[in-house]
Amino acid sequence: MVPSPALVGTPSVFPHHQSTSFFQETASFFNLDWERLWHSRSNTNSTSSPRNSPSQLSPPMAATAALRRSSDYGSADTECGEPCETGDPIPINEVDLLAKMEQLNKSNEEDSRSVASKKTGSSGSRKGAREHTHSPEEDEEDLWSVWGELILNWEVEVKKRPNHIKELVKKGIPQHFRMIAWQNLSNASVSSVHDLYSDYMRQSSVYEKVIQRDIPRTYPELDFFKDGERGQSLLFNVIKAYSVHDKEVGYCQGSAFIVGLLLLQMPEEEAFAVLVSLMENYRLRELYKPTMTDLGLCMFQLECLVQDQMPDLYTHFNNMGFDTSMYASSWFLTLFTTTMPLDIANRIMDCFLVEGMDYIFCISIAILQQARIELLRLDMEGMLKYFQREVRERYENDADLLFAVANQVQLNAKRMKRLEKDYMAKRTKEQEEAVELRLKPSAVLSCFD
Amino acid sequence: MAARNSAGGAARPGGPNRTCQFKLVLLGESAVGKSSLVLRFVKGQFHEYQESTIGAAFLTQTVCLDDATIKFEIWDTAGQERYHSLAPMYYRGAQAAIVVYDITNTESFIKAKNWVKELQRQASPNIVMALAGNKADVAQKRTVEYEEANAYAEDNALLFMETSAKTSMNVNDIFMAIAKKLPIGPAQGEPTGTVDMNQPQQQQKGSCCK
Repeated sequence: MVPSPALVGTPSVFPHHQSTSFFQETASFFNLDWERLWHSRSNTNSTSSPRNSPSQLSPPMAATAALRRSSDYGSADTECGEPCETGDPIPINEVDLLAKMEQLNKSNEEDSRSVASKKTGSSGSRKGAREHTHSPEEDEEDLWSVWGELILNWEVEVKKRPNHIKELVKKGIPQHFRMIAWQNLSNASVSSVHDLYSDYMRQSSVYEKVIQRDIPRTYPELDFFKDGERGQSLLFNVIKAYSVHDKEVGYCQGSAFIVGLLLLQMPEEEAFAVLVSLMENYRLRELYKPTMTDLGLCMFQLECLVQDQMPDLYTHFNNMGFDTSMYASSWFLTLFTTTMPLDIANRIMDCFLVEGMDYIFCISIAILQQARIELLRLDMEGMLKYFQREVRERYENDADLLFAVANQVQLNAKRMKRLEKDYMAKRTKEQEEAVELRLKPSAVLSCFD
Repeated sequence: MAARNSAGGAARPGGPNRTCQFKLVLLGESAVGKSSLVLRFVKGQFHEYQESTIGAAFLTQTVCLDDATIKFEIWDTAGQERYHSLAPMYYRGAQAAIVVYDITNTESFIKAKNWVKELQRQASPNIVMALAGNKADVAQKRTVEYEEANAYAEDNALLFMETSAKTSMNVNDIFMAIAKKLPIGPAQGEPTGTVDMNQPQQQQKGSCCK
């Protein structure tokens, strides 16, 4: 794979270091579907919609409806796996969300609107007339147009305006572009692992039994992953294929939720390719390695960030004997898929794909900042209840707040690097001490005296 | 806080309305039913497919035993081997542990024995340990004999019951059996066996049984 010239020698824009991906090189069925849908979108009138009669069907809606018809993967639009009917693909809360985001990102918005204005067509021609009055539906349309253009010109745009893409992604990728966007952002669309998938499918894995046990225990509340549904076999296939692909990591509990999130957006081979990229280029395989050293590092880094940014909370946690991993290990191991509702988990994945593991720190800090006053009043039990249940309820209907705060969190790369060194030194010291203790059993016993 | 080892306490051993708080940890191989046992005990619920536990989960349940109120602070851990390194954080300072295996899975019984060994070596010396052979509702698929597990439990002074989170068989019983073995009523001149969970762990080190 030849790295993109635009990215060679410059700090990588996205967390991975591979070449950029090209829409045209994406698996053929995406191309065909997408091109056809995009170009014939205004002619699509065969799908009825509760909100749009066939004759009024807006291009994005029509294409979305058709996309949905042509898809055979899981629906992530709705919580708890209620399959989305073909007529009304854009959930109301997504529209509301976009309206709120509009307010939060005034400056960014100008930038993206300038892209929208470049295109010809209905939405561009209407721009001047509604410079100051956008309905959520129109904003949705604009975002759709921006993303449509972006996906079509991915190869050029990713070289020319990587930061613009990053900003757009951080506003949330419209649901119906996620399948392609996630593949492009992770470079999975150009990855050669696609070719290996069918071969891996035929091979057996030593992890099969263990994986099988977790399949029905992954998103058990979602219809797509229920007994007898396709989700379960897809989940098994992808996870098993990965365990064959990466014998050192094999299968680690937690990864199934990430694979599930991918499968709700795309077919199995594509999900596998994105998974491989997430593992290899986004630090996930380090997290999942049998020693799980990297998880310890993430916990240490988060703990120190809390100490830096919220010293009172750090002291409170310490006084309560509340270890960082007690609340945050699943945040990192499942990228919040087991903590947050699916729509938020999807948006976290959007941002993760452009920011990497740093974004998980940003969301973590945002959650803690927002809950700080409350947590300071709680004992350990109260805090655990907050993290296990209430945090989900808190952001269920206010996701934009979480992302607005997370996007403000600044991580100092130098500080993170320093912490990594400190952690490694600490770990080495602990290991040496453990060896010493083993050599002197009396030392162990003395602590119980 | 207010709930811990409050009314009565050491001043009135055997007195009424004593509330004691105990840390209990569940250990055992993946998918043997640790979370299901907790869910059955705490909420009286059972899900055929309980979401895999990543990291650890925490729940509490209060039970009455004679004239005392016992609050269990339950740490439910992840079962996969590579999460093993996280476990000491949860069994450190625990006054009770339930090591769970699946009666239809011999490997899980071997794994349970390893957990028992580890607890004997590393946990508080006075920890009350129970062995739970879960999934007793599918006894027709049994691969671990009751007698074998019972003999092992006797040899190691463990409480032992075969349980079923699905039918709720022996679920409350095993927790109650543990409660009975916990040092609730401090004997005269002897400090309480409960530990203030709100105190920093550093302070608990080496003094989990005061």
